[in-house]
Amino acid sequence: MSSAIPVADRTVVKTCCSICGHNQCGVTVALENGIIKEITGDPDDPVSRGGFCPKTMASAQLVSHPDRIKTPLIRTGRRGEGGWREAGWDEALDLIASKLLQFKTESGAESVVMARGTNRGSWIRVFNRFANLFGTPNWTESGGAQCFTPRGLAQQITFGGNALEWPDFTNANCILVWGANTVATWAPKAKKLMEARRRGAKLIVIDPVQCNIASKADLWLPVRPGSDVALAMGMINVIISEGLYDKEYVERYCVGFEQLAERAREYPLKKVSEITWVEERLIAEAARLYATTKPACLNVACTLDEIIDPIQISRVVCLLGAVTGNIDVKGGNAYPRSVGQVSIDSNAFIRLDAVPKQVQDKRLGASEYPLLCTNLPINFPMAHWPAILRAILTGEPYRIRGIFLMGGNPLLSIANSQQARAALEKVEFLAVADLFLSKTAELADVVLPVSSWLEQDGLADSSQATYGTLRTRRKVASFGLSLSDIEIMCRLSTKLGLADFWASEPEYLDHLLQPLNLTFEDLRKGDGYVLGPMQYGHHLRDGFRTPSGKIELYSQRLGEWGSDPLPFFREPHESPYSTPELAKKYPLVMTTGRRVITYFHTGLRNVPALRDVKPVPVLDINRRTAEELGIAEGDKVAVDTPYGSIQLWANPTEGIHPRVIGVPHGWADEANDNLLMNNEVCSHGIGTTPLRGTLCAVRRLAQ
Amino acid sequence: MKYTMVIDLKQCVGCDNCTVACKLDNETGTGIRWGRVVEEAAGQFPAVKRSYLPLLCMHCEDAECVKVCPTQATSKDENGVVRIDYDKCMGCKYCIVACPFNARYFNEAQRPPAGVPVMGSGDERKGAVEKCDFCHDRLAEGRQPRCVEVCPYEARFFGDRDNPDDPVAKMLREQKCVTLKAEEKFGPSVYYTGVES
Repeated sequence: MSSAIPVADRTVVKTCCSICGHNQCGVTVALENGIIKEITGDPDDPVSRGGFCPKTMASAQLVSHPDRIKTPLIRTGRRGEGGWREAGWDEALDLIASKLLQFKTESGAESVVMARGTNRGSWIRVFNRFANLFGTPNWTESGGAQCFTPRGLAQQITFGGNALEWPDFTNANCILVWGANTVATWAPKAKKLMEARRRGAKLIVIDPVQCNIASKADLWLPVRPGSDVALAMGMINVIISEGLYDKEYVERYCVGFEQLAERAREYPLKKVSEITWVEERLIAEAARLYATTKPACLNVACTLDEIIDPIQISRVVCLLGAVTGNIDVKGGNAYPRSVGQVSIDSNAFIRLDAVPKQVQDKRLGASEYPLLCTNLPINFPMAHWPAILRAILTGEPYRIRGIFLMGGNPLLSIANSQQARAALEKVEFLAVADLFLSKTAELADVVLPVSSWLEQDGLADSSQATYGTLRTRRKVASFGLSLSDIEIMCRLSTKLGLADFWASEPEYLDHLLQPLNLTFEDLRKGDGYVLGPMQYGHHLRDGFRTPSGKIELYSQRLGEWGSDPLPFFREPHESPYSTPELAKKYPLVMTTGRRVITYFHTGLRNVPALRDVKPVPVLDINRRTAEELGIAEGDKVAVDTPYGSIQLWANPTEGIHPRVIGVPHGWADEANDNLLMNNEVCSHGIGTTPLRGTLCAVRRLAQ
Repeated sequence: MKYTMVIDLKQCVGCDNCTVACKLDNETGTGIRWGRVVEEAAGQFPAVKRSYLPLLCMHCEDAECVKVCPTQATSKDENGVVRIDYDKCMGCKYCIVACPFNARYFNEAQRPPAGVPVMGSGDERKGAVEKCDFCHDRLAEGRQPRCVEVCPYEARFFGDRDNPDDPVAKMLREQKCVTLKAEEKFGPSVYYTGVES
């Protein structure tokens, strides 16, 4: 039938997705008469080589979605009531600028919080700079202490760079995945991983749930959530005590081996097995396979950032790579080279100097969480969300009057949603930039319409995914008055009179490319990419960027910052062992924050093609445990903690320990996992609210 | 010509790219999945092995759905593709009962959950039964079915098993390929390889 229709005006555009902000997969977008027909992973893309996911594909439905925000909106009526009027950009930005400047004049710049959630593009540091130039120390992220910050610090401390982010799958003979469902969160990496599998590389996966990637593993270690440090130390103990470590590498490139070996002896297999609920045999086998199959690479994700000791776990995983001689080598974890554009990951770029020291000292959380909130040589300091919520609610240590939020939905995405709601309802002024009226945006005074990645020109330069290669996002559609996040910042910076920002996004993009003698237009019209090749052995030759110039198995610096220089396991603050009384009422151990491939954080539930494939929030629970509780597949169940209760649909499975449950995150209302979380007990130094390994109970609800 | 699909279960990671691509390309409505991926688990924790089984219309040689259709809305074309003429389908659902692989859906224009809009033209097939047609329109243009095109893990292959030079015919000759419910001899045109014993 359709073959009778004359072939329409067809074009194919190459661009890079940014629906998750991290992977930035190269895709082809096929258009007919300007309408997007299909989006497909581009096998010729130099980075993702055809790897992509359902979120990218279904983004076509964002461009014609009836609920997208088309114009800036200004609240009419009471907050949260749902009354809005459409406005132009000038009016909306003037309103925001006048409020923010008023607060700054009357109460100091610190009375304004600038917060971000997800990264629709690569603008974290651009927003960081925007906040600093405005003068507030209270810039923060929903991720923040829960995502990358702890493991970034651990990597800087240990080997002066983020090698864990760059596994060299292509040349690895063994792959150790620690707490990442690579399939669901890193599609291009998963593609390379599966290619390595096909040519015979071994795969070890550490995850409480037998997730997609764990189902392909040679060895799956279902660790008790929150006990990961003990497991990793147990593996290091096997590797050292059986002499399987790389003696030459350790001698030449590491410091503190003797201290580490001594500490590791405190983690014999029997003890580790009791702590982690993983069989002794399996721990030993995994340690031996990993240490003796060279080269081996490590693949991690933000799970490491979400246990009670996030820096410790990231450190031990780094050390596993180090003692086996797999850091900065081909097939291990390496350090790709930037192609030489302006580096946005630097204190010079974010203009931290624009915030006077006495104002920086006021950063919320600074006294409790110095590793997160104070200016160390190796971090980008930010405010602590729980401290912000408390400040809004109590006025202590000072009043927070306004929040400017980009790409975030903290009402759902930060722990203790009950408190977040109270605070966001109370704050004097809230402005939100987003694609849709999110739960948070519903409470706003002003909402700004943001473009989707299909409606943006920009750069795809997230180093985690692109391994240094720089690529181009090409605009293929437009939607209402929406603008990119960066363009919004540029326009607002003009209204705020910020010096040293850019008047427009094209100007910013050209600035980044200037060292390459390129303009964005050159890149967009040409191939669209500049290759950043993998490099090996650079730090082995010239030294690691640590005080000793070597990989620091023992970190003096960590000791100076108030932590233990060596990894140690601490029982989670609530667990069957640390709080046995509580465990009588809440006998199951919960891991939350689990990712579902069709969604990104709190977004995309309203995209029909995605929602129909994953229609409800699903609880992973062991089949026998479910039986004992009278729960059948598809039953509606409640998950209870001392802090709250939510409702999910049961998925009884054998792929999880009988005393562990897996809870998805990002769902709204009665399925919002952050209603279950306590944000008062946070990690030492870094302020992480533990999301992996807390106590809960499950019960069947009336159907 | 006999159009045939081979799915490599070793390579399938359950990413649902195929499921979502199919929904978008065919604009299927709520609750309708011409292609889907079923998660299975063998054994008991911790000795358990999860796996993913992609399912779609098997385009059987001896198709039960064709036999029971009272209006000839369902028929087999010359290339072995089982197709539905939606204008002829009166929605009696005999074929849904007859299909051994649960590949068919009755379109009752089911509403999506609150907050999710209806997008696409799926409701135009309201009152009819629908299912995978191996992307017949794409084949006519010399393209591959959409689910094959979007699989990043090289788990799906499509071709003509009557042509000995076709990669799919080669796979059927050289690899252990099985069909579902083989003992019942429906003659599916969808084969699976990489099946763990």
